[in-house]
Amino acid sequence: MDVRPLRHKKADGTLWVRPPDVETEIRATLELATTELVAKAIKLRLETIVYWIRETGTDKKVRNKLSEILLARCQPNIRSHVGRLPNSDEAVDEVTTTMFTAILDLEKTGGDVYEAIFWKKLKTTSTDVARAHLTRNRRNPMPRELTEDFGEVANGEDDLGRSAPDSPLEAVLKAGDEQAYKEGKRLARIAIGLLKPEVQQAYLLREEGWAIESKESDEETISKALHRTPRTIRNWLREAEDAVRRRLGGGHD
Amino acid sequence: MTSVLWSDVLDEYVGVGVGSPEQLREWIRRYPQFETELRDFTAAWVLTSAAEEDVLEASDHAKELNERDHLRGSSIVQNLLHHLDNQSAEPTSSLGAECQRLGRDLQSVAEEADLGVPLFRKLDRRQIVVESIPDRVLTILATILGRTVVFVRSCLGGPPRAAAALHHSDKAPELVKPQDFFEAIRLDPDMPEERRSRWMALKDQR
Repeated sequence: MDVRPLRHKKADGTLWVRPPDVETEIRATLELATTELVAKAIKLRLETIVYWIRETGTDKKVRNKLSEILLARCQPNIRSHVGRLPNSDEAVDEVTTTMFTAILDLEKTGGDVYEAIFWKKLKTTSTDVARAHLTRNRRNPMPRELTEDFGEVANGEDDLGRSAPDSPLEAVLKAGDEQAYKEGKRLARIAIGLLKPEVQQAYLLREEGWAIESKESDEETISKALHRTPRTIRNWLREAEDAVRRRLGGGHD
Repeated sequence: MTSVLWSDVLDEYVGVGVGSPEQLREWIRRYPQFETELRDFTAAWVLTSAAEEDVLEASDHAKELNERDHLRGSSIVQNLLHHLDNQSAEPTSSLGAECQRLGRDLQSVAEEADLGVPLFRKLDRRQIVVESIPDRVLTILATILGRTVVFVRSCLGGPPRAAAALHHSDKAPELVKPQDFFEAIRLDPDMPEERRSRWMALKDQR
């Protein structure tokens, strides 16, 4: 019995292939009795489990059992990806539905990718679901957001006349205490995690070194990525920095 | 321009690494048809990546969430497997019947799904070729109706149904030949342009 080859093509037209260690593991399971396969599934790679779920010859009961094991092993990761969305339960369910629909649909080849790069594909699917949720929220904004974009401020100040904020963590970094910086960063992440997703995105992109705006029209900026004016982004960053300061005990208010 | 699936572009983009503005610019140059999607995906990526770190802050609350997720997830998977095994044996429902089941009117569901009433009615009457309906539409409807994608697909497939109004005639109602989803979008005279372009953008992703 041979390992079934993948049929799905990448964007560049080449076929997906499984990594050698996945191929080897699948090969080692080919001769297993179904009871052994299910018993070992808890330790198998998820790519191997998906392979057996997608095998047309797999007994239905075994397929169902393997699907349950797959779900149990990857569900916490789904939550970890979309947990910051406002309606995260809905997003978790959408990721689960999208993933299992692809895996169980043998008429389409898209599920093959889960046999090659399971975790990466799961994160990609989760992020794409998050993208769709955030886009829907942007299309149906809360009343407060509707009022935020009125008017542009050319001098780069926010609506209170303040320029783009400096990170409160920078002061700790300048002091040279690496341990304190790490702890500060952890606390900052907790503080940021409580804010609106858009505000979190602005803060995180800024943390990644993105500029708020640029004179170069083709440069990617936070303002472009979040479809908001630089002024709104500055307001959001100010909100985020204030939250971080409060969490760090700076008492800025 | 050759047709490239959005999901395939994503797999490749994630493979090389998401995050920097330079990388994003390069990918937009490579796939200009997905400019907005790539930008939105990159902005969503920083959020999902940051959220991953929350797991490290594991707590009783996280445990409880995971247990709840697992219960709902099991139900989703069992439904999918059940429908997969009984697809042909089960009587199919319809979008209209599903709206009734939820006690909602067709218009509100059509608007929530961002489809508009005329297109929603066509879907309800199975006047749209089911294979042409993007997965995104099926997923949105599944979420709103609290059903699985497989179930929604089964509602939208099968022979076209006649509109109730046609039964006033003595003649047997003439069934409309099913239309491609994007053709229906393109020809819908009542669809606002903004909504039309949002859906048409999905055409390249198929």
